[in-house]
Amino acid sequence: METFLSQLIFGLQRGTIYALIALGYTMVYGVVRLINFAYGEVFMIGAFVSFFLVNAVSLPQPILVVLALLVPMVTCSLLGLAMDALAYRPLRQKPRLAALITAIGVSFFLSNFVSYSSGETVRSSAVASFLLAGFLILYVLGVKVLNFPVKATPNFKPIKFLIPTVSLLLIGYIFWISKDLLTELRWKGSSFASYPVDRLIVIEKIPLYKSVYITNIQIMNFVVSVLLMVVLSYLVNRTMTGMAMRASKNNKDAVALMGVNVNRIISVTFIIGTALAGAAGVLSAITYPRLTAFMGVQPGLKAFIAAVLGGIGSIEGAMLGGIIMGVAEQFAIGLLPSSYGPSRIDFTPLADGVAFAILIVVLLLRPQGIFGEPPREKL
Amino acid sequence: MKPTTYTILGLLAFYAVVMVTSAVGLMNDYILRVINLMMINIILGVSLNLINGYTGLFSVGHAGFMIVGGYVAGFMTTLLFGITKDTPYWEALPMFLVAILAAALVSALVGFIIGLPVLRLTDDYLAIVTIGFGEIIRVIFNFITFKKKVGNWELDIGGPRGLLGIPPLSNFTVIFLFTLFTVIFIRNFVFSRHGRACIAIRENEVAAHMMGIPITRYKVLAFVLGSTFAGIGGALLAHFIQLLHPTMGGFMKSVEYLIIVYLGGMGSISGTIVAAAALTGLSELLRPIGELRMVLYGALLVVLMLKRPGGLMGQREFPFLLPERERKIYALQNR
Repeated sequence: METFLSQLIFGLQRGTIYALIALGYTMVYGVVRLINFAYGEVFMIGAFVSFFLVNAVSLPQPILVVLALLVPMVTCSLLGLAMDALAYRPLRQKPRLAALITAIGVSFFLSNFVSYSSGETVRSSAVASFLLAGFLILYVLGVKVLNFPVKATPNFKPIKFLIPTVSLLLIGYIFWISKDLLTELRWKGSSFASYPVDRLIVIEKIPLYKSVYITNIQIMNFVVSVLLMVVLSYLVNRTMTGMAMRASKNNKDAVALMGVNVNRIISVTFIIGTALAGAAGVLSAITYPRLTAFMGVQPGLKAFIAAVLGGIGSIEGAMLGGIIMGVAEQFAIGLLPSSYGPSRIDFTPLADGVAFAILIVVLLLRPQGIFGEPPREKL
Repeated sequence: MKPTTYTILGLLAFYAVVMVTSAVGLMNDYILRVINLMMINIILGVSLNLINGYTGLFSVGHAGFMIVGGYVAGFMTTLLFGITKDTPYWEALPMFLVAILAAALVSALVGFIIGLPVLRLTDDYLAIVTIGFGEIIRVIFNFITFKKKVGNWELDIGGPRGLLGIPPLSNFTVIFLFTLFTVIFIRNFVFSRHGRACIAIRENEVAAHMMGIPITRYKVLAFVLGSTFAGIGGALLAHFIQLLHPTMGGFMKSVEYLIIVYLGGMGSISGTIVAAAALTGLSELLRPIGELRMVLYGALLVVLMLKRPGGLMGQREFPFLLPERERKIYALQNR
């Protein structure tokens, strides 16, 4: 009973992280029918931005926690915006396969970019992060000066880009001051960086029931993710943008005829999804403080499976699917023996396969997922 | 002379030149190794092109099938038959061929098991299932360990260390013949009625269905054929680099083969051959810049899709790869 409860707590924590990433997958898929494989990499970049920030600045703990969560979310949403505008929007009228291949390319590019930029010397990783920030600034400038992707919008307000630009400059500055710091950190691409959790929060165990306990990190994790999900539900169900988003899911052409800028709605979807993935990256980094350039591949994949399990395109489905996935995986880790029989076979690595087993079962029994509607063939 | 004669002569000349120069010592081992690697990549690229290019599916797990074949063949030669470096080549060769056959069959079976449930759904699911398949293969091969008796010692091999001590049985002749076999087989398949059915599915699935083509059957057929040849490629690769590692089956390696197919052109065997040779050679030349190569690969895939979705060759073929009737139509079109 006690093991069951504590495993359940760990599983729920794991599950909320999957759910946050899965929300991005499912929202973008609902509107554009594109699997954006790069969410795992957004997750990783979110964790790294937070890592640099926490190492670079020294502020009182409560402020730092909020900043360590918000700054990566903003950075990641800008990354999502850039991703959409540069890689996916030009392909919107092309066959879906082209966009899918591009998504693989983006994901491969981002993870290898981070791996490379941290590889050679410690200094170059600062420069590379700076380049990434600079690249985002360039995009915003491109929108502002060259009117590049928003040619058709006459009521273009440059003031809208003030906040992103300022925050980008701030991030750039943080990266720049963390340059010397990186020399101390000695993070190489081949190895891993450890997230400085103790600068954010002092881990405390709060006893719940007999030997079952919950840490304050876990509480923070739950509070933040529930808060984000509530905000998301409000956004989707109660605002005009959300209404347009839900309408675009059904019929993009009809929505455009109602005077809604569909491209803007898609951009908003990307922003929300990537911000959530960034937040998930930070939460995951606080819990499992081991960062590598390829840390996003597995959670990204599992979150996608969670989205399929819940019914891709359905927001409630993604939340539920993520949590089921996390709990199932945690129980697999808990139940599989770590040294079995005379030759002490370790079965725990097989827990990674649980997600895949779930996927196969779902595809065989109910391909549309828990909340999904069966696909309709239109001729 | 007919173009077919030229092709045969050209292939014989290529084989003779490589054999003679390497025997005389004009060509060093390094270049020979690169040529062999190019041919193995051609096998894997052409087989992936059958799935992704001709049938229009999107498989991202080609390296997974490759490594299944590699492990099966490596397991058979190293552990089951007990072939070592010192075994005389002519004794080892029949067993090696049996191992390759087994590798092909097992890969085909795995492809069938993966493909049958998934290919009934839309493309996106195939992409994610094949990525997941690559990861699961990594997990499984990380888990499986073998015991090997060397003299009085019992060694653990397999698992995270990888499968070590595979005998070097893939030489130039074997690889050359298998590459030839793969290219001819897939070329003949593509220009047969079955291949045309696959292309019809790629162009318009609904219309193909209306014409009476059994969609799922042809998708599964193409997928299984592709994974069979991936298994053969993997068996050859295992006995060429003499090492198998679970990470070789993962996403990273699969993307390399995707690049080969999309750079060469979806639905062009010639393009795949050119791209496989060029990228293998290029990656040797780019060795000094190390990991930046991978960054460039990712960017290349995006830029290709945005600027030149047809790849290098589009859907064109070298004339010598076309059947005679096709060649006449081609000549008329390009007059």
